[in-house]
Amino acid sequence: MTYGQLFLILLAMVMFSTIYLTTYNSLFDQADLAYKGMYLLNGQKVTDKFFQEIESKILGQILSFDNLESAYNNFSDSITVSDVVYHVNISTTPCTQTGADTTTVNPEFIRVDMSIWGIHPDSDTLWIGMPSAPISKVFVDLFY
Amino acid sequence: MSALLEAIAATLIGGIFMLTIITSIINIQAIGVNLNQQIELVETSEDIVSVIESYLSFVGAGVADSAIINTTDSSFTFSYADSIGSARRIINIGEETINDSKQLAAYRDGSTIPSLGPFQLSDYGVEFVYYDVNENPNPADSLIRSVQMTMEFEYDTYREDIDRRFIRHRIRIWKYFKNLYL
Repeated sequence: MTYGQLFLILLAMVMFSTIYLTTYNSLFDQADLAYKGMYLLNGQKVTDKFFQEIESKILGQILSFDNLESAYNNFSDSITVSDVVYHVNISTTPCTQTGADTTTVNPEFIRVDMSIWGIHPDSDTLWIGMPSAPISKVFVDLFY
Repeated sequence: MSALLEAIAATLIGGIFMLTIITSIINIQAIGVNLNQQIELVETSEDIVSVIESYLSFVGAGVADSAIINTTDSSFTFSYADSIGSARRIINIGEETINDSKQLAAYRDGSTIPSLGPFQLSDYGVEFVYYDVNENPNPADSLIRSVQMTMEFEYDTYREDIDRRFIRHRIRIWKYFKNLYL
């Protein structure tokens, strides 16, 4: 066997390995996407839990609308679902009909911004709403 | 003689390559099927959870008292009325065992035919945790104001050419009973 033939065989093996690795890599990427979707879905349920909590407390007059801002501004909590710890950060912003207005003493609306992050079992950090682009809900003072 | 040895070696190496390719194809097929079914399971479980959430939003609607009838770790029975003063409707959501397999189902007004389900669950099944207004767990039924429901759906992906594998999806929801807060 000449050196040329040996080189061609080695080249073929390298190319074959590349195709093999690329195929498996793309498959695992897709599987990872599917699993991340599951964790993101659970994270969305966590955001829904906190929005429901706020809404119920206001409806039940356990929390007055005026105290919503102070009670939930810079609020943090952690919830574990399927071995993933979801870290919740909530901030509030007083609003008028035209949008955010921090100068309003008794706001008619309060925007609640939520961002959640969790550590994926593969050590990737998952964000469900980010501090720069949070999941938001605006609450209105029914007795304004 | 050396030509014969070279031919044997080439056949062996070629055979190894062929086996690798066939194994890869089988693995790719198995991963593809499982992945597809995992996505389907997530979509289906999300649909089921949406319906369960709509059921739970009825808790205590139109009834002045005894909205929550029975609570256990694996089932929840409550009542509501379509309008104030009309007959109470009773809903039971919970886990049951059919053919040695845990199933999630909802029943309306004591019917033996489920109005939702049954849906196959894993051995984990379903778990209810009840909370009072101050988020203390497991209060008396009359003090319950919210529920945390965790369930793990399961899908048997058995195929003759791929073998048996269970795909699971655990999902947790919270429901605050707004009617009981009013």
